[in-house]
Amino acid sequence: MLKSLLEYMGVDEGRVNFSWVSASEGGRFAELVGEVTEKVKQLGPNEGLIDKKAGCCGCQE
Amino acid sequence: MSGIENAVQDAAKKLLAENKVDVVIGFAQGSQPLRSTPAFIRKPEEAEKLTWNCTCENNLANYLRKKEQKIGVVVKGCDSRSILALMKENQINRDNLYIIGVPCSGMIDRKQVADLCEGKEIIAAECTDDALVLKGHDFEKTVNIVDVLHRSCAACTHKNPVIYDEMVAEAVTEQKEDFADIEAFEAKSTAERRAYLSQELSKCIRCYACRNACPMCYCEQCFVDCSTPEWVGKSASDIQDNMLFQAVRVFHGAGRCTDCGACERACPMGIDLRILTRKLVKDAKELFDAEAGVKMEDKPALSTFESDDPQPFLVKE
Repeated sequence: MLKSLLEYMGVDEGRVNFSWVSASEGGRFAELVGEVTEKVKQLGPNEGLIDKKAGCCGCQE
Repeated sequence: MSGIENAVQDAAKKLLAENKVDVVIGFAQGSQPLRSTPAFIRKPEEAEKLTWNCTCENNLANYLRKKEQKIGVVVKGCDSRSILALMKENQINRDNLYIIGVPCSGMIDRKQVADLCEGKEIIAAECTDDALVLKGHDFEKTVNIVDVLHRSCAACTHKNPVIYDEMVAEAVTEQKEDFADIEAFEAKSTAERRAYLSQELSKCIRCYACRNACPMCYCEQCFVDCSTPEWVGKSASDIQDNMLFQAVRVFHGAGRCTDCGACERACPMGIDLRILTRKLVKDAKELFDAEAGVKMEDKPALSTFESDDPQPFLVKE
């Protein structure tokens, strides 16, 4: 529900990621982190929840 | 309406006279037309102060948490759902509570009424069963109550109290849940959603009325009041902080929010808060088939785990 709410509020899809990994699954953890890092790199830097270019409230600054 | 009002007064008078409760919490006429105020009645002869009309909008469940004395309370459908949800969270002792249930056909939104009167001052108002007669210095107007209902009341699915000791009137017909508004918003692009929410939350003045009006918000220390660490910036001028505040506030109600609309009604800036709270009501319903404050035997959606719970949030492999 948290992921769903954040994406609903405007956080880029794919920026919030969850998975189950056991403490004994070191290889799988590394693999997942690698994948997520790749995904987030593709999305680029996080611009936050508001569109700064459009000004504070959607107005053009 | 007056029939219900008399029945509420009689019930309160009886409870107090028989010493069954120490106080009856209901509504009394406020100091302005179209305003009701929560009233605390301690003597049988004061019971006639109690009113019932289309302006009794506060959620009285807010006054019931962790109370020692015996309380009688006048509740609408939404209040009763909040009471049930709080009972499940051990915030209310049912043994100390006498619930006077009132089937509710919705409360009016004063902002919509003011718009209809083009901002002219209303000096007197009278509620009947389905109409509202407004009088000003140079006008008189009759509006249908259904046209000026609060949005939460217009979409209400539990008008009749879900839990009560006594019901003072015949049950009213219920309507079906409709999440069309949330579905429409979900269908918009991320940028459009962001733009709408940042515009709405730019109005926020961080008065925290939404938090205080919410019967489910009862942490002894709220995260927004903490200074060490300071979880969220306190200034209302930063819209991102306003959004973070609302995201956390709304998420604290995930699977617990009964969609009573108290937050939105309390907001002095008229922010569309139900676009956020209802999203979680919809998710809880869709993912876990959970509806807060409807049945005592239902387990809280986010406090239980089943091995077949849906997990759409996991990274796809």
